[in-house]
Amino acid sequence: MAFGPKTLAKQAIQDQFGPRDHSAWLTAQRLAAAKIYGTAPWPDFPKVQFHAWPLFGAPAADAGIRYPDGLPDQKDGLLITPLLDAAIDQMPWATQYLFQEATVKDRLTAFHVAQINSGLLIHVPDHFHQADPIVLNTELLAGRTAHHHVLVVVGEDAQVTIVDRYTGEVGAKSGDSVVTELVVGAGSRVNYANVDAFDDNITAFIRRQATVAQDGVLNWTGGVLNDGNVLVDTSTDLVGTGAEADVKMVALASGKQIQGMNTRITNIGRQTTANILQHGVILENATLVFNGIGHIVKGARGADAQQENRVLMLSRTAHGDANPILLIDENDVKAGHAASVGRVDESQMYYLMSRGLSRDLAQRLVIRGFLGAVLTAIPLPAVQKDLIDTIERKLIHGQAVAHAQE
Amino acid sequence: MDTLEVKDLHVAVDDEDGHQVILKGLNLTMHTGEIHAIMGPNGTGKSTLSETIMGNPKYHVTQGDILLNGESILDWPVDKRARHGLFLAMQYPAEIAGVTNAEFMRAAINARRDDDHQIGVREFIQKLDDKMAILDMSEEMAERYLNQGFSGGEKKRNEILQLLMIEPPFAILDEIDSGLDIDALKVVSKGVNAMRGDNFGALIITHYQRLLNYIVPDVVHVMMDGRIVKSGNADLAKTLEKEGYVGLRDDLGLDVPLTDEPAADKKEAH
Ligand SMILES: Nc1ncnc2c1ncn2[C@@H]1O[C@H](COP(=O)(O)OP(=O)(O)OP(=O)(O)O)[C@@H](O)[C@H]1O
Ligand SMILES: [Mg+2]
Repeated sequence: MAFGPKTLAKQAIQDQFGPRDHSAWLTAQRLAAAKIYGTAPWPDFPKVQFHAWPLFGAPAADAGIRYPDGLPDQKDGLLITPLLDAAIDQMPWATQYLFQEATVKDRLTAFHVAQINSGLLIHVPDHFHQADPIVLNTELLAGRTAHHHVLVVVGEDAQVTIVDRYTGEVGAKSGDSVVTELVVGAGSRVNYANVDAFDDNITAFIRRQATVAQDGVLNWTGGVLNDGNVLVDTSTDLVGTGAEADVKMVALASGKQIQGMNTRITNIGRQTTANILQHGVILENATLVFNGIGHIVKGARGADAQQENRVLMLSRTAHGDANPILLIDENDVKAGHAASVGRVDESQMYYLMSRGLSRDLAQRLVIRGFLGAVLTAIPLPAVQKDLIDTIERKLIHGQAVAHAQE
Repeated sequence: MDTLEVKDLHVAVDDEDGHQVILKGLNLTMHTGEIHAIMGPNGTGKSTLSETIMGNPKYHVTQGDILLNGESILDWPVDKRARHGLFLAMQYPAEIAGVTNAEFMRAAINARRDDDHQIGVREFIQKLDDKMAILDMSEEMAERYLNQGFSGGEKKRNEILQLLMIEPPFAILDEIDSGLDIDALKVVSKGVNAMRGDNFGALIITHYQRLLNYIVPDVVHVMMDGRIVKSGNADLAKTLEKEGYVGLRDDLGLDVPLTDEPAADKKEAH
């Protein structure tokens, strides 16, 4: 059903999930979401036409989520537990934060929450300090619609690096959703890296919502390298005084796919600092839209919101958009933005080729350089390399397609 | 012995004001084993000549030919010309973030080799160390992004490092001495002299005779108004240094304005 059901019947949700939920609280949350689903507005992705996408997969009984490398070791107080098995009611931190950051106000989030069939709860305790990153590899098996929900709560004065990678098995089509809520406690410093690399059988709504408390720092890097149509909403609320977020996204779109991305930081607390950097590349007939949204709310005195959105188009049939959107409701602030949609710099190409490099190789190097500002910020070298290799592979493929059309 | 010939070359460039003719019938023949120098007033077309030989798509050949070992290269794209032996040390090299200097030079060397004979890591590093030592460059420069944030002098040195690594049969060095302090000038000259030999030919574009004290040319050409107007031995450069271009221009009866004299209309008023 392309446009999704008109309504979600509460009774059907109750019948389907009530017996399986280990928490009456969770079932109640589903029913509340089902109730608003019919009337909730679409999420706002400016310049992306997604209303006819097959995003409304009926959830499989077994979501078909696999963790190919297993779940990370639970040491030093780190807690990782499946969302649906956990007795959420016994975990005050879970019921306090679930569905609070990713508020259930739009049609896609409501659909997701009503039908979550998989997920994780992750708690990083106060003062946690572990040099090794927490690495989560999540694979969606083909043809089994998943509505996967992850809550990560980091306590106070902790330091942690989290790598969160998603891939999908090639095979039957599905319309999935992944929603992550990330809470950064006061004084904590979190490096969060996510990579989304679904194959083109998956159409997805991906939403990640973080909140940062007083003097917390969130360094967020994201690689959006899916093959299918996806919506990616990456949002951060800087709630506490002095909170900081640095969000760097790299994206590559190829084939006929559409990737629509909202990357948003909202300055709520005083003296909060927001930085967005998005660099993307578009091949073939693909579409990539970067909406960079900087919002400074009234009362966020001394806030700073900066953003840069740049898109390179490698073919005449590529479509790209880089929209900086600044919403400023406070006077005593700093804000700035830069945006561009362009083609590969011919003087750089000429220089590289003048040393004998082929046009294709020169182009890949210029693009690697263009994406480098984001790639080098990725905390784990192995993930960095993996991303570079994936990009390289897509570029080589895109160049081959372009040559075939010449 | 390799040969590079420029025959009756006419070149135009498209700018905002339309179509501008810059080279107007230029002839030049070079062989490996020879060092040629070109001098000439600003704006006379020296960089245009070097860029056109290299294959910069901004410059259009409207008449004449460029031949490498007897074969016309006008239809060759820049990368093919490079792989067949041409090298241009540019007046304004591009900066490329995210690609290290070392990685780039390795790619350039490998572009000239087939897949079965790519340069090994150890061999490459050894060569790089040797060449950087000749040029007094710190190791750290190899790991920096290509020309990114390099000073003017560092960029020039880096162009010569690429020359030494790639070892092309023909190099064109466009104002490799501009912006260099006296020590750097000696170092860069040492680098070029290290290339000298039967298998290497160079075309050195400069405004200053001083460079030619360090790299002594076999032939000196003077270029004015899009043509080579005089050729001679190394002494020609010394004469020019002393006398400027005015005398030569007037001897040859050329109608070109030069910067070291009053504007033409003023002259008429005298
Ligand atoms: N890409 C270009 N677009 C427009 N005009 C150009 C371009 N390149 C060269 N020209 C013009 O052609 C003429 C010759 O320029 P060129 O750079 O070749 O001179 P040059 O002899 O190298 O001078 P200099 O000694 O100052 O380096 C100049 O008038 C210049 O403005
Ligand atoms: Mg010049």
